[in-house]
Amino acid sequence: MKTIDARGQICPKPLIMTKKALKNARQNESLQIILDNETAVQNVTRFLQDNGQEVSVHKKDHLHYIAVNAKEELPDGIEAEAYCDTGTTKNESPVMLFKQNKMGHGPEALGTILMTAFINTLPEITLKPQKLIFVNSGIFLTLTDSDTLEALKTLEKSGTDILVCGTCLDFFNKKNQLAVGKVSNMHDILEYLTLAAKVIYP
Amino acid sequence: MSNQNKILFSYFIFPSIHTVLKAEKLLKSHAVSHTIVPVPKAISSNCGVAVRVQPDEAIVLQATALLDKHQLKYKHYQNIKA
Repeated sequence: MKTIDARGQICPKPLIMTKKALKNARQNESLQIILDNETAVQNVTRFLQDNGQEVSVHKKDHLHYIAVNAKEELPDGIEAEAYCDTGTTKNESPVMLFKQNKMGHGPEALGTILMTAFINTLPEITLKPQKLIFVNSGIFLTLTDSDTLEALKTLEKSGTDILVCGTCLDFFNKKNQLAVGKVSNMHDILEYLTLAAKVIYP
Repeated sequence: MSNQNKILFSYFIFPSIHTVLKAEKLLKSHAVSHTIVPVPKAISSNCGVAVRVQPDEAIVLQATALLDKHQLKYKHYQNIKA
């Protein structure tokens, strides 16, 4: 077993050391990476898993040990350094909470058209939101006659979760007009908001 | 990036947001299929809202006829990337 001692190294060094060791490893050779900080563990683990490696992590006396069997060959051109940046993983992608069907405070017509343009542009942005949550009058954006329905359906197809407040649908008596997403409740909504690294209120 | 980025659309740009609102109402009431989007950067870097339609001749004609009839000022751009 080969050991890569990356203690005291800061990103991207542990990633580069891991990549190099993996490149030089024989098929099924086991490697152990020793790290002393949580962030490095997460970055290296993510790098390995994204590249088809099976990883097990354990912690002992303030040190982290990542064990990996050199299973898959690393594709050429993998940028290990990119894994220092955590801004592009699914968990880091934003959750958006729509508290009303308009954007901002002011004339209704303006707020409505701004919100429509906002949602219609969402399918085209690079980092897609992981979840869209609709509460209060925000639920009107998800109904059969909404101008934003097509964009929301496109987002849902490409993996964005769409959650619509059930109490709100009930209040406005619009349950049978829901055209996208799934009915949700305060338990789930609160859970997603607190777990999100970033919440955007359009 | 989604495939949508590669689709070419037809855009209508108006002199003010008030005209956009009028145009939207008009197109909606005549069931002309359209989408409200921000003005593409290729057209203008100013903040603005545009009406986007499929690059289908029939839809474009229907839209222009309606806007002309109601004397709304607009600029029409064909084949612009979303």
